[in-house]
Amino acid sequence: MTNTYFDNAATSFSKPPQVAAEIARYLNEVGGPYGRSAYGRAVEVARTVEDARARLAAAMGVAESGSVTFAHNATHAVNTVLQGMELANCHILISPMEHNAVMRPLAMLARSHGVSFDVLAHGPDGLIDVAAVAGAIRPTTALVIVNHQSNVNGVVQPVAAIKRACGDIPLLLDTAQSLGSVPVLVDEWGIDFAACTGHKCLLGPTGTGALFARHADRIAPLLWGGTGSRSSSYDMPDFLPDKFEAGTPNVAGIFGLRAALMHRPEPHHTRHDYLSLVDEVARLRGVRVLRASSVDCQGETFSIVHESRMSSEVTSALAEKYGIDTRAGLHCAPLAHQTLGTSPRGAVRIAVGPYHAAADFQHLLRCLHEVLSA
Amino acid sequence: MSTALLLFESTHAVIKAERLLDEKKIPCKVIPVPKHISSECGLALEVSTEVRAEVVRALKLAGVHVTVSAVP
Repeated sequence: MTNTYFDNAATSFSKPPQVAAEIARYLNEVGGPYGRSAYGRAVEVARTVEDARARLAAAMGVAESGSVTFAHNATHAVNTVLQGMELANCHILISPMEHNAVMRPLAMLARSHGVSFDVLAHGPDGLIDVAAVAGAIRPTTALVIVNHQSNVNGVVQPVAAIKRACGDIPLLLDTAQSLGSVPVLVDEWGIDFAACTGHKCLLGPTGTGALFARHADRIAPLLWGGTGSRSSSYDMPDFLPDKFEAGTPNVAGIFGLRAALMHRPEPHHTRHDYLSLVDEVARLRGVRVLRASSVDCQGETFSIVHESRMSSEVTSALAEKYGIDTRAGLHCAPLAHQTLGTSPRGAVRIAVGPYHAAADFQHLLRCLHEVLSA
Repeated sequence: MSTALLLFESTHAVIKAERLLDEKKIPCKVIPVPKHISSECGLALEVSTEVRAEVVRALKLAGVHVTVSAVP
């Protein structure tokens, strides 16, 4: 059956079948809370959640799993850092491909706490100019935020080199579009904070994600509430992971995320298949492809703009005539589109997943050709 | 067999300790924290007193904060 779903940067589909099975197993058979009780099913939940944490930490390249705290999504994790750090009147450097998970809290902090921010120097595809990073740091720079892989053109940033250039300035790495698709090596790169989501490249369920915090002492909790620990105190625990896990976690989702981490499929296409698709789309008449300038920095997402057709018109035609799912518009990333010169018009995004085969790419190409030729 | 009760600050630490002891083939049992003991978490580990010192050393080496209850 042809795989016509190309909106994996919004949320991945399909998932490994074990994801739904594990969610159902928790809801129908296991039950019980995490960290609140000590009977048999609660212990099974504790073991499963902690195994999921350990697997997620390993996927992020983190040795100490306790420093990985579950979150609802990457947005939740980013907000924990931005709203939890002492950033009043500080300066922040951001990558040119940020999405609104970063831009909206930053705008709020600019209004309410005098935070200022600058976009790091970059090439036309949004790739950060590493040589210019050190020169952009001010005495008041308190944080550098890097969108690892763009959700618009798929450009993958050279994170290790950026962190080296930042020196002691903490770096928040947003892996919403990269974890599960490109290597993430948090410990090796010396990353200070990392946000991730479970429902995109990791192929887990929505409502799952995590924050890695190397310096938890520098962040106040975003949420305050019960943790099952130190219950006699009205203060939040100061230790991880409890400090950032107030309230009952998404146990059903975490069961599913663990299954996704355990049963990740081998890609049904090769790197060559994907890069050939991008090249062939770029050859369609009237099409401009938004992609990385170097294939070495190209993730499995790219976008297109047509010289005369609106992006919403193209996505509608693809969906109505061929059942092909793509996303039009600004993709919650107006800064990225400004960087690429496609704001406010937006683009048609094509985000592939591991279940796509080369034949699916050829089908997409034929349908795109027909839609754009009509 | 006399046993020692190990208390931890979080569920994460209990399960991490259990996994570590499993890897070292040291028998342990996850149990509810007895009611008469002030607890920081609902779960505790029970081990033989013979291995208590070894267990505490191993957990501290792994960065797991543990308290040995004087009243098992």
